[in-house]
Amino acid sequence: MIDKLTCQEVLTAALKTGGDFAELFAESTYSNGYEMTSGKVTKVTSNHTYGVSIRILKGYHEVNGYCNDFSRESLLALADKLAGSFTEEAKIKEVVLTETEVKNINPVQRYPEAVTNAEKIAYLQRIDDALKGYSPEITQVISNLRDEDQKVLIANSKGRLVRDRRVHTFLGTSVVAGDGKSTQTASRRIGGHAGYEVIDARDLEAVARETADSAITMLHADEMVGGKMTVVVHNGFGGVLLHEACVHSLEATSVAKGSSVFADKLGEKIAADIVTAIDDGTIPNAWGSLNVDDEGEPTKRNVLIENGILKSYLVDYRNSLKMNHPVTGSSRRQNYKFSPTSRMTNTFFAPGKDKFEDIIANIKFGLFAKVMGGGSVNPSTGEFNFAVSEGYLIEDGKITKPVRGATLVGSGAEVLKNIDMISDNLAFDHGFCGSESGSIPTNVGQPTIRVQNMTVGGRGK
Amino acid sequence: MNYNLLIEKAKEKGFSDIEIAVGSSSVTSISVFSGGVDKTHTHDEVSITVRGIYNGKMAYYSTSKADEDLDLILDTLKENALSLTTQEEFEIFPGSEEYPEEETRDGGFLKISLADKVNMLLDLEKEVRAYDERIILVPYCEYQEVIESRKIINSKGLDLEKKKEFGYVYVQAVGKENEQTQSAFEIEIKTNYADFDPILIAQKVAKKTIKKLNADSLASKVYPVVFEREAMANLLGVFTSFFSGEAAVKKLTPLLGKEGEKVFSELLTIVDEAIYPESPYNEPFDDEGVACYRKEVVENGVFKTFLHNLKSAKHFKTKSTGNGFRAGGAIGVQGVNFYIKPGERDLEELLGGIEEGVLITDLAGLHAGANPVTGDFSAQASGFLIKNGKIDRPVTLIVVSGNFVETMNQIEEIGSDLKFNVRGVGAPSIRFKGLPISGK
Repeated sequence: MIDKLTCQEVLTAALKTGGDFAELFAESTYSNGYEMTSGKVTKVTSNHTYGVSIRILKGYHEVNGYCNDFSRESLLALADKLAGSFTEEAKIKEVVLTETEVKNINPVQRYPEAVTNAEKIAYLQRIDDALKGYSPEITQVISNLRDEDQKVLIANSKGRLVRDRRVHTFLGTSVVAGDGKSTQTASRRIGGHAGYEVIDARDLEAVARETADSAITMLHADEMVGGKMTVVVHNGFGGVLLHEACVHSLEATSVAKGSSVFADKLGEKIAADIVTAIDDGTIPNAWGSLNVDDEGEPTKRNVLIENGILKSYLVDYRNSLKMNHPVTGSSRRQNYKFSPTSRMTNTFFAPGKDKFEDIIANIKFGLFAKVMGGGSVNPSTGEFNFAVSEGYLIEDGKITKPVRGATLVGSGAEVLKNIDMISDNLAFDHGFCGSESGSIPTNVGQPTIRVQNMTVGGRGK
Repeated sequence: MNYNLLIEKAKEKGFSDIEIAVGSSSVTSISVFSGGVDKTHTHDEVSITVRGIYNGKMAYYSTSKADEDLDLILDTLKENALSLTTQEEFEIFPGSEEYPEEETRDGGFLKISLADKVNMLLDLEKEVRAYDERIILVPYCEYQEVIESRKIINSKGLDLEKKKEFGYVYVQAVGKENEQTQSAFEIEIKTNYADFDPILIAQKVAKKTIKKLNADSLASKVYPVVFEREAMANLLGVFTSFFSGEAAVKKLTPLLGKEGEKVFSELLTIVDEAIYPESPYNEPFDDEGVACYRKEVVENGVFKTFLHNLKSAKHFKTKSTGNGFRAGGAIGVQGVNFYIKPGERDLEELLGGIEEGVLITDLAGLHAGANPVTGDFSAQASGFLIKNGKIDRPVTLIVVSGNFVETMNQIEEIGSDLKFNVRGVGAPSIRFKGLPISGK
């Protein structure tokens, strides 16, 4: 991509006006997208993301920029231009790099380049075939397949030089059900920091039927009637609650500025005793995993909350300087166009001891949020929301009728204290998280949890 | 990249037509925090998207590598085109007869030094902090300018270019009182640097933040609701796909087959306009080279037309409306300046006469809480309780729910205060008869 000597020369040039730290991030990423609508292949796109970003830190002040030309002249010109922001004598006269071998925790068996278009489209066809004649209420099936093969080179003035290759494969399917009066949609996702073996490992027909069943169930569901109640958030994508309600507010992005509700709270109790929350970038082949983060730092298993006590934030290099907190291998960026910052990887509540049946059994009235949609949070107020895409009422200890259109809102600080039961059935699901450094693959996960006194919105009357 | 050579090679390889779109942008951004510069960013970038028709099907290849191997591009396109099984017809466009003209003006962005722009932000941040001691933090105070040009060249002889420049300022403030934090933001986009008034922006965001303090939830029931213009534009924004010809082809909009029917309140008129005075979203032509123009998408409640690109227009045997804009590589459909036509009276007058109601100023999580296929929405909201026509107290952590079509039939009055959001979707404040609010 770029040779070591050029990297050294460019980083040295970047620091000639007194910068404390310089970093170079180069990537060449090939990605392909395939779309099937009503059994026909409706879109095939290919993309080559190719560029190099340089950033310089002087104290906490960051100067960054990028270009799309990997030549020595072009990189030196960019380094010069960025260094022009400062006017002091060089503190670091010469950068010397030593290449470190990256430990591969995400081995790939079937690289996207080794799978033909016809083979890829066959996966989408299987989903469509599984739903042919499945129900007269299915009005549309749209599936998308995306693969990405990213090669990166990361070098910095501390002498680090690493190269990594990251392969992501993702399949999403959406089913629309309608009965002439009303329409509902449901979607499911499969993904991994892996090649096509991650899709081979799944029963696509079962995924298709599950998606269709969800849409059809919701078609015949009543509208949720809003109010405050006990909510059981099911495992898997339910982990979006932890993601939105809590961990966004533990990212250094907001903590370092003091704008998070959880700033200055290390060592303090911020959640119920039964709550342990983890962000683990080292789970082999998981959707949110990385060998090294986008600063070249090996990923880690970070225990964020242990038995209700706040133990760690998610911290990138720049914010670590400000916060006096070690880096956590959590610095990520969508691509070279974004400056890296602290983000999540695979985030989940640790399993508890409660049984799912017991969690439901002693609820007089509440909501069972079986499948969650996405959500969002404002880290400075901690106020969050997320949508329930498949919900059921709980009445007298039993899951009864389906309800649609429920949205949960609350404040992160409160919801963590209101979790009173955690099951033993930890599961993960795959999402895309959008924040300051772009859209990145993240896993959300949790066992089934019970939350008291949540505000549930809905348009039922 | 030698575009003419690419076109020649494509013909040799058996493509019937090929098109190259080249976007060049030069961007500078600055953020300040706590009285000093936080980050500065700069880049000059070229992105190239090639689309070609092979065997009657069109595939896409995009790259940011200026010297991408031409054979790699064409071979990938050919393989991808051969994988398509859709019955849709594809077209590369030879050009419109004429294009709307916009007065080209120098926005003055490049005449101002970086240091002056930094000072503008520092003044802004200082002013927000100074406004009220309850403002404890300005987590974001940012400026960005974009100077861009887009070029389309194709094998039908089209060779078009357009240029654009604009800048924006984004500022967020956090206020605290009685152990409650609230935050508000303000974003302003201008086509002329001189139009930024940091003092005014500071006052706006500070005022907004302070007004939200000491907010509480609300008893759950159906209230008369006024969506303030920014919340209204964001709500309209998630449902713009209702009006998309692409969504109609995929049967993903409830408006399919309803052209000419009265679908919404007769008070509602929605316009899509190519050139709107001083708008940064103006487009003389879309990403397929089709001229943009003004059209009423909804007129007095009657749904008039979908927005089309070349492909969706062909499907419905009509003409492209000049709304073929790129979304993630391939051409999708998007409005240009897409807005609800304003009425006569301002927000204050809209609130008058409401005995007990809710003014919604912010909506959050619409990407998840609104379903663009069905129109259902259930979104986190905040704003104010209205009593006897006046703002009574701030309200937070409520959920407002409805269905877009049903809601747009409950319009009582449309305000005069049209404003565009960052995606070129505009709305004035609108008063609705009643919507379910969930809270306590």
